[in-house]
Amino acid sequence: MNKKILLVEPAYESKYPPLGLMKISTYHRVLKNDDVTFVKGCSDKVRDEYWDRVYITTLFTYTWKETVKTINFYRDTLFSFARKIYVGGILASLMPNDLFNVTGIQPVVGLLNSTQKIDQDDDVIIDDLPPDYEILNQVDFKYINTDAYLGYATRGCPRNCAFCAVNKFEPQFVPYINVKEMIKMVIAQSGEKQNLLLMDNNILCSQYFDKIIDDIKAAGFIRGATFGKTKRRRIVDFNQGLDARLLNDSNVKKFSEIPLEPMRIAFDDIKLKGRYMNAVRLAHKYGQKNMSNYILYNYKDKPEDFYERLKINIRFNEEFKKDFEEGKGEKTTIYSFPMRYIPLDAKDRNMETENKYWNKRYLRGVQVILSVMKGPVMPGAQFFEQAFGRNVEEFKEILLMPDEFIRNRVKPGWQKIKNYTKRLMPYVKDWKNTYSKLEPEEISELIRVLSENDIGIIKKYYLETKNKNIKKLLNAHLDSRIIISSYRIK
Amino acid sequence: MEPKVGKYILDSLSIGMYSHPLMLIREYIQNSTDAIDEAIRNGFLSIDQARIDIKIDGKNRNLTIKDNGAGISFRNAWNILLDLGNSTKRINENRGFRGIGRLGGLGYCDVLKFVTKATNEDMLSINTWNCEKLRQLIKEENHLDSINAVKAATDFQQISYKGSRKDHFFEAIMLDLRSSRDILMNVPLIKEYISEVAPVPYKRDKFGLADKIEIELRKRVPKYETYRIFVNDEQIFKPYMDTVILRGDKKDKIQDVEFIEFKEENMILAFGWLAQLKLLGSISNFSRVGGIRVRGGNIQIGNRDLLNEFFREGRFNSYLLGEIFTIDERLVPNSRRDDFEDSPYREEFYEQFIRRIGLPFSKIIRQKSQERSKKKILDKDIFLIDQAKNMINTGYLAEGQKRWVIGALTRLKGKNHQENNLDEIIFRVGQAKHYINMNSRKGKYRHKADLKEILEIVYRESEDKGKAIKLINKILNVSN
Repeated sequence: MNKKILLVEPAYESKYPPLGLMKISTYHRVLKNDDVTFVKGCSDKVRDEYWDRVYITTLFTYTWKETVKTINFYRDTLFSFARKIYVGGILASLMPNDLFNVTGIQPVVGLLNSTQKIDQDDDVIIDDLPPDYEILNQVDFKYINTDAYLGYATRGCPRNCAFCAVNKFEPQFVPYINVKEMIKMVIAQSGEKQNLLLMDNNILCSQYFDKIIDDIKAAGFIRGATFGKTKRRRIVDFNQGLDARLLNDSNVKKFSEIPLEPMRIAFDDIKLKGRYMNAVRLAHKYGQKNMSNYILYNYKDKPEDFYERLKINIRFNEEFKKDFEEGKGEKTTIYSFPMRYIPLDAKDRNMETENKYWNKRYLRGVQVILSVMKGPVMPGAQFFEQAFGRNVEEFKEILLMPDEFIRNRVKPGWQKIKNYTKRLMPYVKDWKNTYSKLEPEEISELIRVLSENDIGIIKKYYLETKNKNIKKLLNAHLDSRIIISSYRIK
Repeated sequence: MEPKVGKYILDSLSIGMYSHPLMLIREYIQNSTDAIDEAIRNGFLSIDQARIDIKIDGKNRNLTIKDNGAGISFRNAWNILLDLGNSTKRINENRGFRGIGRLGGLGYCDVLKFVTKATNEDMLSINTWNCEKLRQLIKEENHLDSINAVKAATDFQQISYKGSRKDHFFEAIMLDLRSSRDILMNVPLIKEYISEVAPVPYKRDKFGLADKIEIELRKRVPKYETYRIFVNDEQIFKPYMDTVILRGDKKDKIQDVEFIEFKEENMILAFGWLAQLKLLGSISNFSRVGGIRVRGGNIQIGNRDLLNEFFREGRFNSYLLGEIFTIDERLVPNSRRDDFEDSPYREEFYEQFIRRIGLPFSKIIRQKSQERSKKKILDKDIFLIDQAKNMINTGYLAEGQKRWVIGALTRLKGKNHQENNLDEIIFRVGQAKHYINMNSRKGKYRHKADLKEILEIVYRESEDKGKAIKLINKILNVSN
């Protein structure tokens, strides 16, 4: 009898399709001819049906609450028949016991690279199966990269960086997986895809690097390759980023044989500045067009060196633009992709880290600036300086402003206004004016009050303090919306 | 060193065993049916002759349960009656098999007596348990173990029997009953309990589908049997009837029954029947038929709520009516008979239930209830518009009514109601005059003013405005 299988991705935000569930779908739907249903989140519709098995994937630990809610919802859906529910994925692999304690379901840890993990009655290694794209049509949720072969050319990472979880769920470094074969299987099952998305955690650690690039080329991903009748450009993306320390002339040259768009280099620490810059120059040398580089912050860094790392990329953009205009090379464009460090066992996004240089106000400030730009940092210098400040002092000053001020700092059409000060909204000018009058110890005092980003603390201090300037700045925090609307009325 | 079985085990096996005093009656009935089966197997009794008699003597506070089953031979009587948890019964032939059920009475009377005789023998065996003394021995400080406590509190006699040599019976007698709220004296309650729980026949004159069910059960459920059980000489039947009483003064009728088999590969776990109903609501508790019941050897397992947790909402079980009979012998009731012993068969049984009944009926019942509430709202809207039209045609009845109807119509307009000339209706209700025409020459002015005032009061003071309107119409002698 065909089994009824339910696949669930909790209702958290997710860009990439759930690869693990897609492979499980291939196992059940294609190999076992079972009836597979995929849902996002807690679906009341499926509660009236009988399910032989439910698979629930998990992702970031900070989606803990939603994940637990989802697991318990389906446990209840199955009348507490926990044995029929399989929970796997990253969160489940990082904190299996915590999850067990609140759901009563012992999660499957790590990859499905053994037949023992989900009570199989055959010897199929599910992790080796191609993903089943069909299930993505069953949900309204829009994933990106659905027209791409999704997979890996390597697994794991031999490094053991404390901020990174890869070692916990892929402890074994597998230096070679046949991408060509994987693509062939996808084509056979789901047809051709335009792009290739590889989620390798550290491809450059593989001694088979050249062979992997050759596999990718053999599968039709040569630089300049197009797809379909409309001749769309095919791209390859190693979306987990490349290790700047391992990039050298030969592997960057090798990379240039495939349409790597964008190249993503991790710039995790200012100490790697030299090697990072070297890697970027190499990419430029070999004609890399787009780069989208990961900037880790809130781990061991300071706001100052975070700013500096962003600035380095801006300078590169200026330099490469000039080179290009002078006909001296490719116009390499670098987007910075700030990634806030969240501890590996964080059950929400606001967990305290041990970093003393960043505080909640600063982190919030960065988040507001980034949200205006919808994520990545633009390559243009003018834009960057407007968003993050012309220097690190101004950057830190901006971070201390009320959210609404950060968001609405400049007048519409500011690009046409030459004078920097004249671009600013009057209340921001006012803020800057007051701020500029503060002595260094007063600035420290202001930072102390704002550091928790807690309106209660701000209110209390506002009522207590006798310092007129600080009072004024705190008042802006308490009344930012009113201040902005009153200017709008004028 | 030898392991010892302390005296407290007696406590757990007797009074501690069953959560309700009525359950011990079920245990004695179970033993009786086993004894009857044995007599039939041995060819000296037919099922039509077999009977179990329960006599409750309110005056003397005694309860006896007597069957004309095989009885116990005088040779084995001592062992069988005094051994604990050492039943010679076989699990696949008998309903009881643990050898502890008969001790259930120990907690609820001062003296418990077992009197029995096998056929073609002259001896009568009488085993008396001094319950009061046993309780005392368990409570006080002494070094008695179970065996010595039993020895000290029991008596065993064999005397020659005066009646017919062919007689065979077993009788459990409880003297000086003591149970909380005198439940064991509550004859109607005992009758109802037995009708729900015991393997009694369907009442064919009240339940038209009895034969259809009975025929199918005899075909499909091995060893399915019903027994004549009497309580103070009144025969007891299962409570099923064609008419089903629902909560809230509603009724439904069983149209037909559907048979269901729980089958997994080659294993048949259970078989049962389900009444076809309109699923209009919960079946009244008083009718004692609500909920799907589970029966092993035709004796109920658990209560009417046993399967509640396998519906999306527990109350959905009470919308249904039917019985499921276990077939596979590996599906064993636990010793309290409130569920099955935990096993893969139990798990599979409930899975099958969820799949075949719990989930599909949860869905249907929810849909029906949504349809009903939709219709209720629609009916309310129709009533409102009728009221408005009456007010336009014959006048309004109270100031409050006018205000309320205009408000309700405005709200209805906001909900895009199908009645498309709501605006006009609202306008004309606003223009409506009072039912009592003060300007007309008909009727005395003062009389009319008083009546108007009365209507105002009736409307204002009534919590249910709909009922207020009906009452006012009655006062005015207007047919609705």
